[in-house]
Amino acid sequence: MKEIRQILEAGQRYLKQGKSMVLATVVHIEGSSYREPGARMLISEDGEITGAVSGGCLEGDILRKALMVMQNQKPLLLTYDTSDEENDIITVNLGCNGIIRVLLEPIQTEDPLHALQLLEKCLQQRQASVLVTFFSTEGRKSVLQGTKLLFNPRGTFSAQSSLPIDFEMLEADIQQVWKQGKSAFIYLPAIDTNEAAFQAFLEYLPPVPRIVIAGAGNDAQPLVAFGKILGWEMMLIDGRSAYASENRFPDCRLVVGKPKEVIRHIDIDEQTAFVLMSHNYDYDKATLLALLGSAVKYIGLLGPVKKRERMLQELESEGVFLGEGDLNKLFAPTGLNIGAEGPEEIALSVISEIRAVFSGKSGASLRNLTGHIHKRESRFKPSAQSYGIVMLAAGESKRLGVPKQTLPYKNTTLIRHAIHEALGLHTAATVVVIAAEDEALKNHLIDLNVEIAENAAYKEGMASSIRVGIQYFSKHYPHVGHILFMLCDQPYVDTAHLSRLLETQRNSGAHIVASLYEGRRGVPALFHSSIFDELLELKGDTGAKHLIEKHSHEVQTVPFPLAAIDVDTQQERERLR
Amino acid sequence: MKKQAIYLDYNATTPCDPGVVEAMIPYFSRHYGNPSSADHWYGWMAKDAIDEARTEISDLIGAKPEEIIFTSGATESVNLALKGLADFNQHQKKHIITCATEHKAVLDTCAFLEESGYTITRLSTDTDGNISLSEMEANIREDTLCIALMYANNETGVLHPLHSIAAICRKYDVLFFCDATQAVGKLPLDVKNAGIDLMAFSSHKMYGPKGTGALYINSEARSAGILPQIHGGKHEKGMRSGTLNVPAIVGFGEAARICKPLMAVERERLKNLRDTMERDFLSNIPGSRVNGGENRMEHVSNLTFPGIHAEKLLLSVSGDLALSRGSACAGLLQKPSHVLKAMGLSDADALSTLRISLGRFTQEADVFKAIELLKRAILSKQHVVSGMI
Repeated sequence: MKEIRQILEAGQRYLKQGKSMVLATVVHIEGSSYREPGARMLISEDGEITGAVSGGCLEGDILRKALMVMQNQKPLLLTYDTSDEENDIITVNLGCNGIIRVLLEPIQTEDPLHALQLLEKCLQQRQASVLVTFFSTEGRKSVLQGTKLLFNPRGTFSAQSSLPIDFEMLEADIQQVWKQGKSAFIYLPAIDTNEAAFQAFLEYLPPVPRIVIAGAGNDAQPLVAFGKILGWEMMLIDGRSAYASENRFPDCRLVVGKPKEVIRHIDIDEQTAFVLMSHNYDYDKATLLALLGSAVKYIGLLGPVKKRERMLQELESEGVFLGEGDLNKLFAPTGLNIGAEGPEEIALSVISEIRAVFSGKSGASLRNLTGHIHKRESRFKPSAQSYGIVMLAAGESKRLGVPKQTLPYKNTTLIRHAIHEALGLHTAATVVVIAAEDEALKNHLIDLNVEIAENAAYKEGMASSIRVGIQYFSKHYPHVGHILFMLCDQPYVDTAHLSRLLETQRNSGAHIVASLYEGRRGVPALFHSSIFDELLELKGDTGAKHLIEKHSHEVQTVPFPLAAIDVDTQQERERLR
Repeated sequence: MKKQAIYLDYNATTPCDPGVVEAMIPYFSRHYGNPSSADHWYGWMAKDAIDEARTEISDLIGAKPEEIIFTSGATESVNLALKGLADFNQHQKKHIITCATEHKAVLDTCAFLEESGYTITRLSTDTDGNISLSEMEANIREDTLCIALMYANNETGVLHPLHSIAAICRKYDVLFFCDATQAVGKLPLDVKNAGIDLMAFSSHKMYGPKGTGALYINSEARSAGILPQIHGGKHEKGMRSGTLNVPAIVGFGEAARICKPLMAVERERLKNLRDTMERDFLSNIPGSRVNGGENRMEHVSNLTFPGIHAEKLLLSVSGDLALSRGSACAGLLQKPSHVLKAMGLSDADALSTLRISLGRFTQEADVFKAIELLKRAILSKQHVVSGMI
């Protein structure tokens, strides 16, 4: 974040001076490297650099390539294989062993939402954002590459220049990154085999950590200074205006008042930490009380163990009991055990502990670690657009007597409900296989964003519909590599479960992902294209159950007991009501 | 001017693919920088073009870009490989195994090293041009530096068994140097898979321009040590100095890029044409023979037509056909090809041998015309010859 801020400041300067600039972004790393994906560097037309993308070994070459890009005004993807010792670009072997991809993009200042503007929007508010940068390892000179999409609660912002894919097609993947709070690498389906395949770096940008210090004493100054170096948002609260003054703490948000009132005006979220160091027992205690039950991630209390014990006892006697959640957030005494003496050392110890807690790390020595320092995901996952859904709705409802597809359910019908859940996945297409000449059902679905495939052989049974579904995709969406088969009469199957099936597939790479209920594996189930030929050979009223058994060893399952409930008989229909 | 003769001598050289020429043009007068100029756009653009070409070429053979050194052609690559290895290892390794049917670039370089005290084992071949792997293995010594064996023979198209050769090389920790000039771009080749340590190949045999080629050097070969043969600026990682021929290398890279999707289809098409042609000759010209067994490249035909004077024949049809023969001028006399001699052909037969090699721009009509022309010419001459006897 600090780096982004510095880059934006430099960018403003260059804009005023009318200087062109190029933004370098690390979009992917395989193996280990000094910097992480998302590291950025801004280069001006006269060779000035702000930020860094490596420990220094690549900067010289990247600078030259950036100046070349500045002249050509076209983006360029660079690939550095630092795993090779013979590479003479890296004159000093820094011990990094990886393949680093850096995207260079000229900043198009005529575009109101060019890359720097999108970065600016990320910093504007205290909520996470997902920033999308497109690149193509096959087409490293493609002009469609660049930082082009931003998604956050304020909305979706898109550069005016062309994107290799519409936002709607990426929406499901962006939502996934947003929910999981982890960046991801997606490869977009190659819709046109003549065009180069694209990849996208979906970067999760958390809001800047905000540290609120209760107590604007002298010993708060080094703490504020450390925070500023890190680019964190520092805030001070104190009951005394003489202490919490702009004079003593320039460039810092200050609020004067009693804890309960002051805290009401502060937005507390999971990226907020409080440090209670007012040296006033009552002020600290009141602040702690006001923070209980909030979303705050860290509450540090300066003082010995005795102070904590006394405070907790007193609160208990006042009827306030700290739950496990709050106790886990309370770090009293505050700071890591580094033998800190004096305000500067204490500040170092507190800041380090806060960073460890925010990262979910222990704060212990790296040398005792086995394995990687950073557990970085570097695998590319297929975009949601590589998946398709086939809904089997050609059943004759023999046992029920009336067509189950159009049974009323939750203010709509069973099938419309199922379709609604399916569409929530934003896959390439949702294809509903209906019995040929079932005009009634066709009309029933006419306003929905689905495609209808008619099954002339519906009397044969489910296998015929499966065949029709696969053939439809092969013909109209040949790039779809996975098909999810679902029924329309499992009323509890929802977007969440379908989404879990997809995520399991993307994380495991399994060729079959099935739902697990009542000890059996069945639909909804997701199949990789390598299984399509076998599915095409199914006959009669068999579903894919025995194929799932056949491939047992490579099937992943997602338990979902509610999938057992379907509407085959009058009994079940009644139960549904 | 008369219509151009039908070109059926693709093994000698290939025309540039039109896409190759188009790719090269900007690098003469627009992006004309020296790739070693590190501080301006002209240099950067030239270097970028070289990087891209290097990536395409390495990708074609399954290597990493860093393992490709650009040279002026396959001949220079062969010299660099053999002399480079020899010079670096001259105290420990003084033996090289090669084959009597190798290209002159390899044989002449080996002969030169022989004069400097190297022992060269030249493996013989059977009548089909194949070596004996057991003979090769039996000749490996403590001081064997490398085994130099080509992939596809330029005269007969005969293919050596790379995997088997590499396996034996690995077994005895001997480097495998492969002259793949005739095969790269025409046959699929993965150097890692094949177990090759050094490989020479050329641009103008794969529809790229003349004047540039490459030497593939893997880490094993690098560790063994190669002494650069050309000094002055330490270009190509110090391995081969000299300003790079940017337009030619760009063309080389484009040629590599173009041939990938065409390879399979081309092979099948040319095989059909070649086989049709061979069948026609063999059934209609008495005594005619194909040199080289089953194991050959699909577009080459090395044919002996007994009683024919190859040189006279080629000259007589030169207005219509461009072909090659199993002999070369050595002053006033004709010297029989060393490849054919090694395969056991008599001098007379070698002097009666033609080489026909097809390629990307060979049309079916061309082949049929060539067959007719040659049949007529050969049968009439044979008739005359037999008449004379």
